[in-house]
Amino acid sequence: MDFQSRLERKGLNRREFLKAVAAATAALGLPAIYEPRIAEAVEKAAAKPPVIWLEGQDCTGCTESVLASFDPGPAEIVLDLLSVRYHETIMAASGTVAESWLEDNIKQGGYLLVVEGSIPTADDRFLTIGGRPFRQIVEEAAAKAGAIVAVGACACFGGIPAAGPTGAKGVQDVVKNKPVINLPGCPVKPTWVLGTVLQYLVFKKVPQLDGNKRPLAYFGTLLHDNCPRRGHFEQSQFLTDWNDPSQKDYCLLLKGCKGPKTYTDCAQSWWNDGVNFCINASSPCAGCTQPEFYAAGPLDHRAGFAPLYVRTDTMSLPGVGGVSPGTVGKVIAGAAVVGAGVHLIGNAATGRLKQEKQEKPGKPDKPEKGRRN
Amino acid sequence: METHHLPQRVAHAVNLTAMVVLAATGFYLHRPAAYGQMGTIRYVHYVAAFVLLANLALRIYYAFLGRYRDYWEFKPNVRSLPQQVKYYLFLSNKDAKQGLYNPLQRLAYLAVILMIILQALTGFAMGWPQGTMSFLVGWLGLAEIRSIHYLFTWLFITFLVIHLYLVFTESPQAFWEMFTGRQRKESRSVGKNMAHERI
Repeated sequence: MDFQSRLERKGLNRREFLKAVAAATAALGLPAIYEPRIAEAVEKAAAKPPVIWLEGQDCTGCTESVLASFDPGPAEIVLDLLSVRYHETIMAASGTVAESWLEDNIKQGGYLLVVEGSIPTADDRFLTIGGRPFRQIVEEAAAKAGAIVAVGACACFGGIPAAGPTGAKGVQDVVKNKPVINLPGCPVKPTWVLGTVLQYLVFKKVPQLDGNKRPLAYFGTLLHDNCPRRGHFEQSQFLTDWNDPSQKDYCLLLKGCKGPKTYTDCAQSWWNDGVNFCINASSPCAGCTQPEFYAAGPLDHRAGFAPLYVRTDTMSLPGVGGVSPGTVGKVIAGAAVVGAGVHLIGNAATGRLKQEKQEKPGKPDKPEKGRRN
Repeated sequence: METHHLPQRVAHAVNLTAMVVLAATGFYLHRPAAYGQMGTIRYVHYVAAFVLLANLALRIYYAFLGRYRDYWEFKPNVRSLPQQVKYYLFLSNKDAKQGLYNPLQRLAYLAVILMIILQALTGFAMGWPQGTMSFLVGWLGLAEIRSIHYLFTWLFITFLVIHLYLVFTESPQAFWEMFTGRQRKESRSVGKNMAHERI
């Protein structure tokens, strides 16, 4: 079946397809000059660039999020037209048939590998598919992948499963020798997946990434800097009482909003096809695009963002673990005060306080070097 | 005799003022109340930070090239460090002061310079996370940087506690002198004589 007839089967004529491409180009933030290239890429995509979608320790929420995109929008067209070869949630095949299909596709190589969910590292037996450890499946699939995209907080940084005993890690901690594109979030936003996949298909290279391997296009700005409630923040209008109607639009900082520490485009590009996003719905940002998301204590060297409704300011000290910098600071300053007090007693006991006054004035016993008068 | 000349005293006063303003506004920024003006307070915090940095730069310039240059006063003097520690622990009655400052004092002042610079780096990282210091944000994370910045505030307060305690017990004269340039009346004559002897 050629591309044109496949479009028609979807109820799209050529004109509508090009409109969708224009929308996708705009979603990517690219000038209209790229439209032909994207249309070409999508048409080429129709020639089946294979996608393998693996699920590890996850809740299938990212799958839900991506597939729940309304409208016959660009996301649906592209994801439909991509040849998704393996996706446990939506594929019809099951059992050994599905597993051997996966093996065949891995042998062919050159596919786009999407991983959703974290990988247990404490013990391989925590997650096996068809009797094989998930870690091993990811490593094999990654070895022959054209590109690897980790979707959701779990696949990127371990996410919520990292709070459990399985030693949950993200793809980047397991696949060391290949570039991984992280699309965190809990769940991932469909536009991020669409944009990244399209960008990869058009330019055939990994987009510009930040220190956490997230595309700068979506994770390059702080939520706080684009927050619709930023004005209230600047005015110190903080929501302190959920039941006070006069505060309903106030800044959620005191209710534990992690927006000032979270890099995402949520404020510009809203969720559920532009319907709303957390802060706009009066929920403090949980920081789900950050590695610190859901960590109660320090993660590696980072502080945790849990719990949601509490302003967290823990930091990690090597060998000590998560501590509040305020507590550490007060202990240090308190020790100085106590030390000074004890020393003062010593000073009084030895009679040093009295001696000093006679001894002090004009102490320098070294010839002065400066050009003094 | 003036141990601290006017430029040194002005620098000290600017340091003090800027640090007090920074700490006070900083505590608000760390844990804002539901009243006040976040924007204004942050602006004051920034202004004080730049004043402190400019003052540090001028003071370092002055220490090496000023009329009353005094960089040697801050040179670490490791060899007589144990003697100074002994003195503070009442194991010896003789301190290891050379010139204006003792070895521990020199280290403390150098540490404060370092603390100001580190505080500025974390501060810039928070103020302009996408700016020059973005590598620090990528390396440590904004949350961690914020904690470090806050912890350093307490280190400054710790310094202030020790600084004040020692000035009042070890040389109360120096306290007045640092602000007025003069020693207090009862000892002024001694100071004058000393100065006279020098000439």
